Amino acid sequence: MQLVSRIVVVVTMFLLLIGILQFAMTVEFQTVDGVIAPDGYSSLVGAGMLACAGLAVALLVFIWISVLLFIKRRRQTRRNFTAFLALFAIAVLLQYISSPNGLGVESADPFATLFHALTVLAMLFNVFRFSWILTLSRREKLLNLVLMLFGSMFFIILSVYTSGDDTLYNALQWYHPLAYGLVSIIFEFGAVYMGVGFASTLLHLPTAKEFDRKKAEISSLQNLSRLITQVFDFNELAATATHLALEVTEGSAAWLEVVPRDGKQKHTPSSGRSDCVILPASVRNINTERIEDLRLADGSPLRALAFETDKPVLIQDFTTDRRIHPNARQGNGIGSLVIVPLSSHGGTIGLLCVTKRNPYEFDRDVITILYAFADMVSVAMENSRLIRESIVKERMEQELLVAQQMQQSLLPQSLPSSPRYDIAARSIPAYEVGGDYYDVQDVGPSKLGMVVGDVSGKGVSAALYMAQLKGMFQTYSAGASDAGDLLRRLNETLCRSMDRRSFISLLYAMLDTEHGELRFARAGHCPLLYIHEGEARYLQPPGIALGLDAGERFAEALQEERLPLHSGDIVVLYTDGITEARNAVDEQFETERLADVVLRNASTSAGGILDAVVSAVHDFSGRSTADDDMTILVVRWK
Amino acid sequence: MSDFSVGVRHRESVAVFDLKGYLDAHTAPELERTFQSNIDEGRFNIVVNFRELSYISSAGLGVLMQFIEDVRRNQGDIKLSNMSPRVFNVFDLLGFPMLYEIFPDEDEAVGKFLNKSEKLS
Repeated sequence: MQLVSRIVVVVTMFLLLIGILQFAMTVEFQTVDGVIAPDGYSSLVGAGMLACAGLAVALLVFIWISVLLFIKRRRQTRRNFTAFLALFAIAVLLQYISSPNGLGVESADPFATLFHALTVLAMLFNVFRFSWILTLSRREKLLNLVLMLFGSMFFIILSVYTSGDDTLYNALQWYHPLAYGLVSIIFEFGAVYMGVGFASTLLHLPTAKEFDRKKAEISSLQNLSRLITQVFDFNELAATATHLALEVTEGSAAWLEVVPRDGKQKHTPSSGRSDCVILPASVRNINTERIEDLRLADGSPLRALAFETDKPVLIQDFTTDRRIHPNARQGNGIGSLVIVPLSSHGGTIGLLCVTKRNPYEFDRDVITILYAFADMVSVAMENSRLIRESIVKERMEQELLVAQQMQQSLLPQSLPSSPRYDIAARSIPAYEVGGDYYDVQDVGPSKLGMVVGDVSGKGVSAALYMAQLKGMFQTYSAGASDAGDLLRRLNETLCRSMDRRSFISLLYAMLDTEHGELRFARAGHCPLLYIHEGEARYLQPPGIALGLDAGERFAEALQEERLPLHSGDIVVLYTDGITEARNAVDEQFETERLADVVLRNASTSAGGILDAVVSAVHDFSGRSTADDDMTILVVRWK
Repeated sequence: MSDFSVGVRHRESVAVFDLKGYLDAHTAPELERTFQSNIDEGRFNIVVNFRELSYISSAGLGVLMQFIEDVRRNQGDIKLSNMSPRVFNVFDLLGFPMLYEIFPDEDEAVGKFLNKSEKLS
């Protein structure tokens, strides 16, 4: 677009010039009393126009060149230019003084000639400022060359016209002798500037292509370094990397292959070839099937080689190289291929592959640049991976925190107290939140409901089931006729809403505080520990966990047990986090140890028994953190 | 760190899964895939052999529950065998013996399937 408009400008200027020249032919001058004057009215008009046009062109040229001269100015730029302007002014004035009527050019004053020559010298000092040509692209340089050529020719012609006894000379002299001096020197200035510009451009042409490539390299390296900080989308990163690789190398196709990281296997050089996968987002100008064909064709030793040596593998002539299977050499538009390993401190993480259409197109410079480029890609990819990992970790920690808070808020804040019984309960969450749950509440006149349960699964989902369970327990427990009835109602509701894979084990005990009787039922939960007169017994009435069976089997299996309580009897409800706590040699705490601890502390309060159990488990496992939630509820009948 | 594996053997029309190691939330997906691929191939007579399984978590149990309905709807079953006392205790507490057939020995479990198909034919 820019090129077209420039051509239009040049052509228009030319046509304008030709028009002016043709018109100028018709202008006639005569000398009256030693003064040049137009001959007739049409010549008068023509001479006026010519003089104005000459002045306008000179002015424009002067402004334009001085702007160009001040590109990348240095300290002496202005000084030189000022000197030139001074000489310029003196030369014009001297010329005017020596021949105020414009007729003495041929016999010019030697001072005027000297200053004219000095002015031309100052021009030369000023015009060697063409560093801006260097930064032009190759195409712009070619265009510049043409413009400079035509420009210099144009000004040479104009200078010739203005110096001789010609129409333009006459018109300007008639207009004002000062105008003549001004215009003629500016035209000379234009001719010199354009001529030198033409030569400079010509000298810069051979390196133009190289310069273009360097410029592309720098800009793509800059883009990539900017990209390193924008690494949230891995695919976008891969796509940009190959896009820039093509820009740097002027390659025809490019793609990335990476070693997938699922954390399972650590990469070893020998396994490098087969477990590298193509990143679809990175593939440019080639289809994935063709790459797969190529991978098969070289039998992958090339990849293995790049992996092992951590150095680029270059195939200068893809069509004849012995390392490529003969069937794959032709017909895929690949003339040469380079495979550059992407390495990070952990080893080789992938390969950057770039192809060119013709053999021997990758020179040493390109490979070097590509190698540096590959390093930046590796860093960007590694950063991207680390950022993703930390995001995932943070999200998980956040979820864990939410689950922990939910779980804590679902547990009762205080427990009832009574002269008839003493009750204590505690739930100790593990680091990875499990689904332990307990609750105690009045379920009728002199009836206390106690529940201990374990929701399968962990995290937020377990906490949600727990919340559901708490809601149902608080709703149903008051209306339930007995412990078994409550569990059947819980199972019915839960089976409708729960995931097929999830279940809840639960033990519900109803304490009749008036008659001292405990009725309890077990839905797949740990048995109830009962201490009576120094003897421990585990009571395990049959029952299936909630959520396992929606049908009759749950109801059929469930049996409620009744237990008359005597003074000093102890009942312990717990979850498997207690009995399955492990020590360093992978032994479990087991039910026997639990019974022992409770027996040994049978004479203390419920809270004392609870503390004893918790510290015994901690002592046993040798750690203060557990693998699973631990929950224990102790009731002591007074 | 996850030392869990599933081996699949075929004894006539019965697929036997040999579980080994720790079956927990991290390794359960592997067992899930094994079940899914067998069910996709139309194998609904499945015996799970627990001989070399040292630990099972609720996520592992969840896998059995996930597929049992599907299998039984197709006139098949999932039978369990060769549990160590500790593993059996987990199943027993939750009431699994009332929902699944658990055999001390794999041969019995396989035999039960084969007898049933003989009777049918």
